[in-house]
Amino acid sequence: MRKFISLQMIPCLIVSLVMSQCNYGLHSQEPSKVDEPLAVPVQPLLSHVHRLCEAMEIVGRPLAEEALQQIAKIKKADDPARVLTEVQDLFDPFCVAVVDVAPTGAPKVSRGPASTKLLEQGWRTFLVKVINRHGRTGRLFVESPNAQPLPNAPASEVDKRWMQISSYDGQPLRPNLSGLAIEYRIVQIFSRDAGPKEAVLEFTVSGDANGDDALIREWRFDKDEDGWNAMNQIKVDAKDGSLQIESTGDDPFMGAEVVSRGGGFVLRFWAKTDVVGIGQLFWWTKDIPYATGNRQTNFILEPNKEHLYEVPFHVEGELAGVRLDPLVKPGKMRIDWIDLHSQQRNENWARLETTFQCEASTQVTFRVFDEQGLPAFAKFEVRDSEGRIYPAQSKRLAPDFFFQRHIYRGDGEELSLPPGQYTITCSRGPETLPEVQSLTVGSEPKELLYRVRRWIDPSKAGWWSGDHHIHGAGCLHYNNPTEGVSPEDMMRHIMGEDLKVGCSLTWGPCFDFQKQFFTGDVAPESQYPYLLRYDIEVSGFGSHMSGHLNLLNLKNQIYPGGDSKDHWPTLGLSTLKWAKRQGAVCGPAHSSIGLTSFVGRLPDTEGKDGENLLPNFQIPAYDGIGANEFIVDVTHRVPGADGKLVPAVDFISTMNSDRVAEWNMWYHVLNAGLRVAASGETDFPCMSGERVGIGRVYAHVDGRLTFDKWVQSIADGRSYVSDGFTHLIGYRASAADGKQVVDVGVNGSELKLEQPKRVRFSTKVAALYGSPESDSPLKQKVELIVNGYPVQSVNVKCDGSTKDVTFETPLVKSSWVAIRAFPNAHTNPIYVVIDEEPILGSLDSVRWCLAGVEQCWKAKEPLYAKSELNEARAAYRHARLFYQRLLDEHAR
Amino acid sequence: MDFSLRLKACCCLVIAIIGVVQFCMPASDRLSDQGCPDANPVAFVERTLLRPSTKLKRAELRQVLGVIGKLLVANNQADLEVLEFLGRQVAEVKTRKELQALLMPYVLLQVEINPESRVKIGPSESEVLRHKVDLEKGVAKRFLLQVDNHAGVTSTLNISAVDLSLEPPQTADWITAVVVNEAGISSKMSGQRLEYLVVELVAKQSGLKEVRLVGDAGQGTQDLGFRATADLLIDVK
Repeated sequence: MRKFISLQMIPCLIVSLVMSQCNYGLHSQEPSKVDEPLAVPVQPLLSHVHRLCEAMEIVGRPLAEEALQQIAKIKKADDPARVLTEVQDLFDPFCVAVVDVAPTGAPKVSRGPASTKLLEQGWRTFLVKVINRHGRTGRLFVESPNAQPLPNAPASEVDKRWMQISSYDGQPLRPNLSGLAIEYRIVQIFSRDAGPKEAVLEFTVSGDANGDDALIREWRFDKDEDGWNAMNQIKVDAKDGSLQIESTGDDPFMGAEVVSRGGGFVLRFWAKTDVVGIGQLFWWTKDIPYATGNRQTNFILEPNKEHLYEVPFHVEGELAGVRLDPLVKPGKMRIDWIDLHSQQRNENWARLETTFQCEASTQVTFRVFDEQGLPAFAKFEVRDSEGRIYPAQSKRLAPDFFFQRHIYRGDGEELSLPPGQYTITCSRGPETLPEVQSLTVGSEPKELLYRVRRWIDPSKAGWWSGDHHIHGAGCLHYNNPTEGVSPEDMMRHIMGEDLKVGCSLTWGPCFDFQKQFFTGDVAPESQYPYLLRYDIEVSGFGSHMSGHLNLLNLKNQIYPGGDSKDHWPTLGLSTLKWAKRQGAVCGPAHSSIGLTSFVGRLPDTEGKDGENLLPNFQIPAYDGIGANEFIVDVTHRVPGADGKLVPAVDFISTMNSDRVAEWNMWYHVLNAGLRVAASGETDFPCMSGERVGIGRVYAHVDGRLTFDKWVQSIADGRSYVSDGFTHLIGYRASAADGKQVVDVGVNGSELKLEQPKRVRFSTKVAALYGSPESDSPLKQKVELIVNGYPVQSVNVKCDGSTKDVTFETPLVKSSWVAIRAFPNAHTNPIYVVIDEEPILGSLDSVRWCLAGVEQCWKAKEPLYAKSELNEARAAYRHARLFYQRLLDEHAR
Repeated sequence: MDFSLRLKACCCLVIAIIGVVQFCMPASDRLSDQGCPDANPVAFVERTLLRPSTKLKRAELRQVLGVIGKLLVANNQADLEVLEFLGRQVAEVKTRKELQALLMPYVLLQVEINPESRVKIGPSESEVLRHKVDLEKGVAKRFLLQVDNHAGVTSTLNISAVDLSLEPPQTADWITAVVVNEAGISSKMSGQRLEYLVVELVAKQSGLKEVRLVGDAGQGTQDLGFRATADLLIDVK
């Protein structure tokens, strides 16, 4: 029994209320009259309410704004009784059932007041109200015989099995009941059909004091094989707490005796195998005591990973034994445990009979045209009048991603919606003007027309957008039912965001599945001008601990010596050497990670930090996976595709991590005279799952866009990085007399002067945050950066118009010069070389870099493989010498 | 026995166990004269979890005793007898699997850092702590954080406490949650695949409450979609 703390003891408010709201009983069991007061501590109740709101948002059933405002008021209420009443008033109307949990045995269940409308071929979200006086903390299971699987169902059952039901127990909800006297759980119901449908919902709470009764037999292998016997072409051995199985032929099997009355069962086991294919489960009964071909079921093997296998089967007669054919070919499997559960309902389950009205859905066809009137893809967020998201967010499979609210649809594609009123937000990436449409759906098919309106199109001037770091697997992507998503899915998202180039990088998760999409060229799914290419991010393997590496434009994706990811070197420079030898374009990923905590400050730099802390002289801890070993690698030159020495690193990734840290690193190495470009990335869906192209690079390409030309422009710095809402197009420099003109990224971005001169720097600037019709548009500060510090600036209205911005400044020594719109965009630098003197922006920066090499070695040395330590020492020694030589030369 | 005497007794017991274990070890494996175990028992835990049923090495045993010692030293109001018993059990385990099972009841949060440095945390699988955590008002209590570090980051692991019942949710003022950083145990990760850190909770108000613990390994490393948060019920006596 839950213990509650008295009011005298705690400030936490305890609520007493006589429950009268339980009497929804329309069907089945009526909840018993409840006279005793129900006590709910307010603080955890309100925390639960907050998490419930978050969860409803996640599943695509957000509360209306008025309801959220009401919750905000409830949170501030002083009267605990009012809190409980208002919480129930707010959430009870969403409840399809009210479950009154008993101390033991079946709960009492009644119908809740929610509308029973379902959606043909779609999901609806409901709440279940749980009254839990006894503080039970088991799991609430909600199932239905109408949700039994259709494959292998008797013909008479097909009509009855019309629904699917699932509980949402994921974050931020907890799988188990909290033990609070009142809480709400989320269930979602899918209807196959239209029209009125009868259903039985079944409820139980696990962890019953008298046992759950569903478990028939559990097999554990700590001591021996626990009753499993080798029967044919198989060796079975209990070892290290597991059952080690080795099949020696094509028909291996083993069996165990187990007795139970017949009915539905599920055999669950946790296993790992390296074999691809299927397994089989047979069973025998008392009357037919041997396996037969008509009493078997198959399951698909999940190779190379630990997996929970759940194999349902139905036994006619009395079960006497099970036979497992774990593999159908020679191979090995390790089974950690096996459980046999009955699917029979025992007395701990309660039934609720109810009728749902399933609304017929109507096809809505998207007609999508770009600004030229050509068929296109775009992004759509579809909500009904209650704010519900379509298609149901938590039930999505690719090409729709469950972690996004929106979907991407191309011209002519469809979506099923029930009749009603909808609000549809349409857009196509940051270069377009989003618009909101209202759509009324009736019983007849409907069209939604969206014509894209742009506010800017840099590609017309040859500046092609791209995101060099997106993923088709890992992070928010699922591993099942497929290992990540396909190139077709990634293309849809790229086109829907009007991202001209997408680099889908295969990395640790699902590496061996996703690697099949690498072609050494753009993916065949590309649709000009939208280009998709598969390459590699060294992440989750190899040298990842010293900083992740984006390897673009590879010819071979696997490091020599293996065919997967487990043999790669731990020294990033070794990977870079291999990649550069094949002509790849390389740079560190999510650069700021490892650069945002500090071990100290470079001596004698007080007062030298620039505006926005750019640059700053805090020495990072180099304790992460961003541009860490970069501080070493950037000093190296390695053989390129033609054998000539080229920089080991072409670019530093920006625009998706801490802006100050990533740009600070960039500024310092530029100040040390190193020439490295900035590129823009998202690392979708790891740093963000919102969309591809949050961080972008716009690279200039002459003539028709090709990936080779685009990625070469990344390496050449013929580009600017941007969030897509601020643009710095056509950056160029010229001597003030106008005799020499250099465009960024062309001819090494180098403007050569014989003597100090005034130099003119110009670019076209455009930015839009909000509506272009706004009477008070935001302003963006645009700065001229010389050797890391701003020397001039102008403010530009963010109204979507394009302005020419020109700065003119005297330069007395060789310098790198760029244009910055902090924190939204940055050009790559133009290198102004005066009298052939090398650029040395700041000696403090060189000292900062040297300190960084030392700190990076401290942090990373333990992470390099012992066999590579000598090579690592040499790489770091080279970097130290590089920076030290600059200091020495200047001292001389 | 008053509290300070019991605390001393327990400390002595752990030290004695370490001494016995050391006595059985080669001299090169023994603890240094400082008597302080390694700052992070990482290597031990990594091997423990990756090959759970292999035999336990003496040096590994020494390290985990160090972790238990850290739980014990500041665990002023904990059930000292239980920890005492745990110390004896740990000294007797033969396999890493057994050892993990022994430690699980002390694991408050399981932390996973994916290869992209995203921090995900979840409640313990411990039956003892999964549903509710018992604290005494004003008394610090320490628990283990089991860290599965796929990224190899060596940054500090931070845990912060948020009260969702407030509007808007804000830092909980009734509880502090700190990853312990003191001699013998660091809040910085080692970069090894798996390790244990120690987190300390102190509640300032009594009652049944809920707290959201948020984990990060540096700026902006919380995983997306509520995966860097764990919501715990705390019963403060």
